[in-house]
Amino acid sequence: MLAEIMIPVIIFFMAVVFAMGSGIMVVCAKNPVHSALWMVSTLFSTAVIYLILGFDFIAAIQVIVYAGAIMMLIIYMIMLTAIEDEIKRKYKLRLFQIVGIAFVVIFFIEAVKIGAGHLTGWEGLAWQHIPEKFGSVKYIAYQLFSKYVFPFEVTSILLLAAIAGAVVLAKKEKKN
Amino acid sequence: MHSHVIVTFLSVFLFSIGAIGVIVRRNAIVVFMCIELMFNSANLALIGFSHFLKSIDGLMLVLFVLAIAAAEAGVGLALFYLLFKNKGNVNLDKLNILKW
Repeated sequence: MLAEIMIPVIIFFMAVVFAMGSGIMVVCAKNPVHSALWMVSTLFSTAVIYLILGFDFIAAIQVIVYAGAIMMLIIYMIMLTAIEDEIKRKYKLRLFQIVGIAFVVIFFIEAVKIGAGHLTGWEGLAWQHIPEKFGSVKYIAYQLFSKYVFPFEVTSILLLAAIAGAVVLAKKEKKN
Repeated sequence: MHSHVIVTFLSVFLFSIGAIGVIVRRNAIVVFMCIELMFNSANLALIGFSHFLKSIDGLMLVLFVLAIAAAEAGVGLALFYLLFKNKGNVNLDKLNILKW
């Protein structure tokens, strides 16, 4: 009984630690290909967290769309562009970068201070308290085609526009 | 404390890391990846709050964010391809043709 409760908790914290570590490595890796691979690791860890929270459909979509399609596009782009000078570059922080990092750190500390007010003691993973059907494909599909049908249609138009835009941008120019 | 606090903390952490990456890195594709990291952290926060409030709305928003991120990736990477073809690099410091 204890193992049934503890194993999801251990997996949850492992996923959190992996996501944080790979997130740091995305920024710190010199080679863009390495940073893309660490990004895939972050996305997988996030998908694991979605799974533990009970959103299995979103986890599958995350792996297929983000870790599959978008990261494949990015790695393809890295192969098409030259990365030698990026690997050799020495990073020297300039003034605006230092100020920017300081503001990001302030944002992080303030956000953690807000969250720290709710740290009262571990009560277990919250997925043990929600109904079974929440986040299931049937429920999501019902919502998608009733309440969210207009944003759904707008998204389809947006995707069509994106396809057309990408084709127009990348096609060969006519010589005349 | 439920796991929501941890999820929100992770979301804030990933967002800060992504923002630092956008500030520090100069390769356009790596900056693009850091922006995707920030999208991902926003998705994580939406999922966490949707779970906390037991409401499906945040989940639907995540679906639309995913669709828009995919569209953005397509157009953005076509732009980077054109930039590389015309300029020979994707370094953000050297792309200052709008500077006057």
